[in-house]
Amino acid sequence: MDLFLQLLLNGIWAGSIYALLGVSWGLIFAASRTFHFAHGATFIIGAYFTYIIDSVLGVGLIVASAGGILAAILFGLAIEGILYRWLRRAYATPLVIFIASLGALIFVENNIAMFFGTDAKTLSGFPIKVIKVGNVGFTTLHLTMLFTAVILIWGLMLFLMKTGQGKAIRAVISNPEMAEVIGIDIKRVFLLVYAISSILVASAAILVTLERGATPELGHWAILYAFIPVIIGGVGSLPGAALAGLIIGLAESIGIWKIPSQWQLGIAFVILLFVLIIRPSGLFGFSVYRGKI
Amino acid sequence: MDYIIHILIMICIYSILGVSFNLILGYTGLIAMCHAAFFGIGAYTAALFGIHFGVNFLIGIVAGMVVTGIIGLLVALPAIRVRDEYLIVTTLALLMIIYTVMMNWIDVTRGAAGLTGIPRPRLLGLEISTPAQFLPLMAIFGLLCFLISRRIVTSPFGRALKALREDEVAAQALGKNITSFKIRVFVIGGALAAVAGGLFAHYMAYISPFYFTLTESIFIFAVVIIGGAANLWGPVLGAFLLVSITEVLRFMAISPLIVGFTRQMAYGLILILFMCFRPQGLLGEFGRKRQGGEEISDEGEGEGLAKRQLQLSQAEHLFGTPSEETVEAEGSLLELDGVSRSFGGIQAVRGCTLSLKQGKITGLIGPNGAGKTTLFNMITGLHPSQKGTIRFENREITRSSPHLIPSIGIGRSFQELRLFHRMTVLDNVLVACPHQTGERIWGAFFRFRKVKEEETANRDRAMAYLKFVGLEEKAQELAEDLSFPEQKLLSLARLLATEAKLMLLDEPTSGLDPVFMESLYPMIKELVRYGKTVCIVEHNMDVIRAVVDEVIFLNQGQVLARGTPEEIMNAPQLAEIYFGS
Amino acid sequence: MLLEVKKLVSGYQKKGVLRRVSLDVAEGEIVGVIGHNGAGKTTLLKSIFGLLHPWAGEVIYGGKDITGRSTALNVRDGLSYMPQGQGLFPDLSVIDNLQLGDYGLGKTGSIVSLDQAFELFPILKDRRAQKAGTLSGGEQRMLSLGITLMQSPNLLFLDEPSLGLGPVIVQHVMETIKEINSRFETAIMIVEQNIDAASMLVNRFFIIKIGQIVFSGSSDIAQDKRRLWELF
Repeated sequence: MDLFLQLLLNGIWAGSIYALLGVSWGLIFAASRTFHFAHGATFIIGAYFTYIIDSVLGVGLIVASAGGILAAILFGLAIEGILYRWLRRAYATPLVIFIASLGALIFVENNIAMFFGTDAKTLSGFPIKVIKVGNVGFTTLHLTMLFTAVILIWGLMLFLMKTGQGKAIRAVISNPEMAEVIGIDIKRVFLLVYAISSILVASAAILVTLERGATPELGHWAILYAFIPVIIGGVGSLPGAALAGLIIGLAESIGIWKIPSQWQLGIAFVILLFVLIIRPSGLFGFSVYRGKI
Repeated sequence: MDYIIHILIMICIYSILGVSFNLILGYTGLIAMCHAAFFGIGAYTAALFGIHFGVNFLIGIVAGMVVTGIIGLLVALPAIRVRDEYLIVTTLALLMIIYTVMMNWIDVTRGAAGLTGIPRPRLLGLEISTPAQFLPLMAIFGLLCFLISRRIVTSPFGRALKALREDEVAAQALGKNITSFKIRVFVIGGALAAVAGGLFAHYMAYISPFYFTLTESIFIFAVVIIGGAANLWGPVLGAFLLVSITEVLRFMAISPLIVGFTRQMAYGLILILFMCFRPQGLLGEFGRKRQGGEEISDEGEGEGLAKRQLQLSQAEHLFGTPSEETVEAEGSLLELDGVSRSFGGIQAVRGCTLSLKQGKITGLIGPNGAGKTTLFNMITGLHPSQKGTIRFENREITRSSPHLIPSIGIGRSFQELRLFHRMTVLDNVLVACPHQTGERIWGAFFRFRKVKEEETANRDRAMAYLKFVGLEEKAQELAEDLSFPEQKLLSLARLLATEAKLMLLDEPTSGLDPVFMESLYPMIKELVRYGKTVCIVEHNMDVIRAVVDEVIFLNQGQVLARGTPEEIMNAPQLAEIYFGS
Repeated sequence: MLLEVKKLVSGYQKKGVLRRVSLDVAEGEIVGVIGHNGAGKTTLLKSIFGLLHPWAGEVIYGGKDITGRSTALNVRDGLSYMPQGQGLFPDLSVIDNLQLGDYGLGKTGSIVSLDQAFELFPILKDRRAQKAGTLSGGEQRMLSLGITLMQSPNLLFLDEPSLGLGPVIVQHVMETIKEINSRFETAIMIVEQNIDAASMLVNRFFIIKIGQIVFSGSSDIAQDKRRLWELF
C-alpha cells in the first residue's frame, strides 16, 4: 500500500510537468493551428538562460528564473512574429511552416550544445528538503512542481475566462474567421498566446532543470510530452490536456512497478494509441476539429 | 582517396534514405518523424543477425525490412486512419521509444556502448571490407532503391498517390482507398530505409543509438526538402549537398566535438532559409499556395464553342452504341427511402424518399440549405445516412465506404470541382479509370505487361473522353492552368472516365456564362442516349428547362414535389417556397 | 450615399467571381442583393467588408476610400458583417459572444448596451450563460445579429440571414432587422436567396447573376414571380 501511495505521488509530480507542457503547447495549437515543433527550443532556452544567469551573475534563483522566462517569451515572440508571420505572408503551406519549425529547433538546440556542452547543467539556490509522511517521501521541489502547475494553469484558465484579452483568445480558438470579422487583431492574439505559452513551458523547464539538470536533448523529450497530452486530452481543451498530462504521469509511475524502466515511454505511447483507436477526438476535445496540416 | 569514397558511400546511404522518405513525405504528404527509427531498426536487425546468426548479410537486410515493415504497419494503422497530424505525434513517439529501447535493452543492443563486431558482408565468396569494395555494393543498392521508387512513382499507383495528395476527397470519390494507399507507402518507405540501415551497419561495423535520433530524422527531412520533394532526383541531390557540406565543415571546424553541432546548426539554418525563400527545394515543386488575381476574360468564350461541338463518333466509341431499347429497363436505378442526416443540431435531410429513373435526367432543385448536396454526400458515403435505406440496382448500399461507390456504379462531380491541380489534364482523367492493376504494388512490379496494356487502353479512352468535352488539345496542361469553364469540362470528363452508370452532377453550370452553359446541354443529353442515368443539382432554371426530364423539388430536407419542369415552375406554392414565404 | 461600390472586380485565387459590380446604399436605407448560389453574393460582401481583397474597382464609405482595408479598421468605422451560417463563437457563452461584439471598437466601446441587446433579443437573455453552440438554429442566428448590433454599426452587411431557418423564425429575424434599422438608423445591405423574406424590409433591390448586376429597382419585382424565374 505504501509503495502504491509512493508511486501515486511520484506520478503526480511528473504529471504536473506534463500538464504544464501540454497546456502550453495546446494553447498555441488551438489558437493558431500551427504545429509548433520549435516549442522544444523555447523549453531549452528557458532552462539554459536561467542557468547562465544563475551561474554567471549569481543573483539567486528567482531573478535567474525571471530572466529565463523572459528569454523564452522573447524567443516565442520572435518565432511567431518574425518567422511564422513571414511565412504566412508568403502563403506558405502548413507543411512549410512545420519544416521551418523543425529547422528552428535544430538550430537552437545545437547552438546551445555548442556553447554549453552536453553535460547536464544544474541550478543552485533551491534548498531541496525531503519530507516524509508516514512511509512515503517527497521533496520540496516536488511540491513546487505541483503548486506551479496548479497556479499557472489555473491562472491561465482565469485569464481566458475573465479578461477581455482572454476572451479574444478563446474567440480565435473557437472560430478564427468570425474573430477576424468582428475586428479582433488576430496577429496580436497570436503574439499574446505565444508569450503566455512561453511562461508555462519555461517554468516547466526550470523545474525539470532543478530536478535533473538541463541537457540540449531535453527539447526533444519536452515536445513529445507536450504533444501527447494534447492529443489524448483532445485538441482545444486545455483542462483536458492538463488532466491527460496527469494521467500519463500516474500511468507511467504505476507502470514502473511492473515494467522495466526503459519501457516507461512506451506507456504514454500505448495510451496514445489506445485513445487514437477508441476515441480519436481525444477524451475531452472538440468533436469536430477544423483545419489540418 | 579513401576519404572521397567514404563520402560517396555516405551519399549513397542518404540517397536511399532520402528517396524512401520522399515516397512518404513528398509523394504522399505524410509527415512521419520516425524515418531515423526505421533506419535504426534496419541497422540493428542486420547487425544482430550478422553477429549472432552468422548468416549472409542479405538475409540480415531482409530481416530488417520485415521487422521495420511490421512495426511501421502497427503504428500506421491507428494513426493514419484518423488524421495525418496524429501521425506526427505517433511517429515521434515511436522514434523516441525505439531510441529508448536501443539505449536500455542492454542485453541485446549493448545500450549506449553500441554494437561492435558487425561482420563484413560476403558476396560470391568475396569479403567486402575496404571502402573501395563497399562502394559498388552501395551504388548497386542505391540504384535499386532509386529504381523501385521510380517504378512506384511512375506507375498508376504513383498517379493515384499524387491525386490523393492533391485532393483526398476527390480521389476517394474516384474509388481510391486512401487509407490503404497511405499505409502501403509508409510501410514500403520504412522498409527501404531499413535497407539503408543494414548497409550502414555492415559498412561502419559499429552502430550505436546516437546515429538514430530525432536530429537524424530531421536531417533526412532536409535531404528531401532541399533537393526538392516529390521529385525523383531531389533527394539524391539533397544527399549529395548535405553530406558534402557536412564533410566540408569537418575540415573547417576547430574541434571534432564542434563539428557535429556546427553541421547540425548549419542544416537547421538551411531548412529555415529554404522554407522562407525556396520551399520547393532546388528541383521540386511544392510549398506555395497559388495566389493573386487574374483578369476575367469576357471575350473568347465563343470561339471555344466551335471546338466543343459534340463528337458523336467519340461518344459511340466510349459508350457503345446508343440503343432505343435502353430505356426499356424502366424502373428506378437508385432508391432512397426515408433517409435522414443531421449535423450537430441541424437536421439537413429528414425522411427523404425519392427514386431516380433509369436512363433519365433528373433535376434536384430547392432553396439554399434544402439538403441537395447533403443528399449527394449521403448517397456517396461521405456523410452516411443515419436512418433509412439507399438501394442501387436493388442492392442496399446505405452506408458504403466512399471509395467503394464508383465500383458500385455511382460517380459524382463536386460543386467546388476538386480537380487535381498540379496534375495534367490527361492524368486527371486517367486516375479515374477503374480497375487498374497498376494501382496495386504487386501489379506495379510484377505484372508489367498487363499494366502496360491497360495503360495504353486507358490512355485511348481518356483522350476520347477529353475529345468528347473538347479538351483534347489541353491534355498535357496542368489542371490549374485551365480557365474556369475548361476546368468544369475536365471535371465532367473525369467523372465520365469512372464509367459510372449513375452520374451525380453537383451544380455543373454554376459560375459559367450563358453561352458556355448552352454548349454543355447537348453533352449532358448525349449521356442518356448511351444508357447513363444522370441527376443534376441546379439553381439555374434555364438549365433545368433545357436538359432535365423530371424535377424533384427539395425543401428543408424533404421531397415536396416531383414533375416536369413546366409543372414545377407553374406551381405557385413552389415558387413561394423557392423565392420565399 | 453612405456606401458606393464602383465596378468591383473580385474573386478567389484564379477564379474571378465579380465582374464590375456597382451598387450603392444610402444612409438609413435597407438594400437587398438577390441571387442564387454561385452568383457572387458572399464574394461581394466579403470584398466590400475587407475579408477579400478586390482586384479592381472602388469601395467608398462616407466619402472615404476603404477598398481592401482591414476588417478591424472597418469595424471601428461603423461597418459590421454577419457571415453566412455560423457567425458566432460556439464554445463561448451567449453573453461572452455579445460582449465580444464591442471588442473591435477599442476604447470608444459600444453605444448599444447589453440591456438594449437583450431587449431586442429576449430569447438570448434567457440563455445568456449557455454555450452558443448549443442554441437552436434560429437562436444562433439571433445571436449573430446581436453580435453585430453590439458593434453599433452605421452600415450592416447581412449574409443570408434566413438560411436554414423555418418560415416563422425567418419572420422574426426579419422583424428584428427592421427594428434595428428603425431604432438605430443603421443602413443595411442584406444578401438573400429568399426574395419574399427580404422584400418585407427592403427599399431597393439588386439582382446579381453570375457576378454581374442584372437588375436594380424597387421591390415590386417580388410580385412578378414569372419574371423572377427568368432572372434567376
